[in-house]
Amino acid sequence: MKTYDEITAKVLETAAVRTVRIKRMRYACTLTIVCSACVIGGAAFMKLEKPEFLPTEIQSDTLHSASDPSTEMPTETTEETVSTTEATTARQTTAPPDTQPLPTSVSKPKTVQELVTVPSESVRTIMTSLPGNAHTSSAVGKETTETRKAVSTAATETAVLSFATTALQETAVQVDLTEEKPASTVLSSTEGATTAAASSQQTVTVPVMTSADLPATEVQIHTEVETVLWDILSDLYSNGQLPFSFEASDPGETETTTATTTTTATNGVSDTSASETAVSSAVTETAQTEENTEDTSVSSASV
Amino acid sequence: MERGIENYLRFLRGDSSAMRSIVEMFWDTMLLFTNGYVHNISDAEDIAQEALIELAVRKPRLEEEHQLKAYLYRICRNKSINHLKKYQRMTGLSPEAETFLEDESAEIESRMEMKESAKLLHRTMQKLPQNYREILYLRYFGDLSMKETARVMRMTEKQATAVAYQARQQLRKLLEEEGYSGEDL
Repeated sequence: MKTYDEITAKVLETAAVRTVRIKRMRYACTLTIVCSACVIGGAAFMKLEKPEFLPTEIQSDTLHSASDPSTEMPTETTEETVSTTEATTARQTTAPPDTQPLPTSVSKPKTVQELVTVPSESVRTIMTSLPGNAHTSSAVGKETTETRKAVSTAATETAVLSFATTALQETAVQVDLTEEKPASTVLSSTEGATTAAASSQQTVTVPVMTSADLPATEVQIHTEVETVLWDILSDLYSNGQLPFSFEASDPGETETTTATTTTTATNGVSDTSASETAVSSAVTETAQTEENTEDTSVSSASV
Repeated sequence: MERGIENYLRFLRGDSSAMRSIVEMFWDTMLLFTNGYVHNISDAEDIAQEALIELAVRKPRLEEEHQLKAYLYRICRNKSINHLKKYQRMTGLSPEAETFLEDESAEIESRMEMKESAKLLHRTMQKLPQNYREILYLRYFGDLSMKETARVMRMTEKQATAVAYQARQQLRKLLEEEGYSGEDL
């Protein structure tokens, strides 16, 4: 029979764990409500892993209106470039991507786009299951720093998720740029979303770029980043840490779309116009169906 | 004597050691009460522990001693019923298992420093129908008022009074069959 001390210890320990879990669940639910109304839901999930989060943070530290994106965007894109490049470099120094055999149990996704368009449910599940310190930043800038750090290790599950989420965040910032209003305001209503779409359509000056339009170096960077990401995802998948799978695809098709992340990052603000178009159309779609919003927006943004 | 509710309020203020006192005060009676449903000390322990965990996690607003007791017993009751629904009672325990469970029950009884009469009462109560046993446990082992007992049992106070009366009658009959008269008890 258990002693009183044993029982007490067990009760306290379990209660502590459950309390955190319950708070996290409540927090996640609230974020879901917030973000299902907009196209950048994925970015919100970053906050799930804040170690000392409280439900009240939702009000005080909202994702979409916490900062002034119009001033942060150029910096962000630059940092993203560094991040991507460093990730590639780090990967190259440790092991050339081409020499790493892929696991046979899963197939290779086509592009970074596919990584980013992971169903939001799955992203949330992974985020929640990750250890606490990987996604602690509340500001976008910090996140980029963390992304750089995480990707440079090129061996953790966090890297993929940070990268994917950063891509989503980038989309978010682009949405902010299309409107003078904060993104949260714009995206909170159908009317606002339509306005955003109309507004950004007027400002479009750069056509959507394809991989053929990109300089060879960028294509190269994209390919390598994709390989890095895929390796990490494969590890995750083989460890049973991904609650979803990828469809089989032909490796030869991987060049169909280029990661906007790279493009935007390298060329700065001016190159985001293409993405803006895509995002704005995604925003319009959001007004129609909430369910598909996130995926549509991300994939559009990546074209 | 320190009351459970005081310990609970201390616990709410962040004093984890107060949980130790709560466990000490309520554990054995909760265990007996729960064991009345599940007839398995091991399961009863799990359920009673779950009840305490629930108290610690939910931190309900309780102000009176009887509210705390009623809360704990109600959780034990609900969890026990769920447990029974989930895992239908095993039939035909091995003799070793029976002996083990009896020993465990005896250990709880001795830990509670039950008088012989209380032990007899407890054992005879095992033969009562569940709702009778339940109400007598709450009234006489849990020291709950009829109002609180009714609340735990999810019935009106009037109904609870009637059931308690019938339970006492049946218990008396059983005790008499065992050879005890009212004077012995």
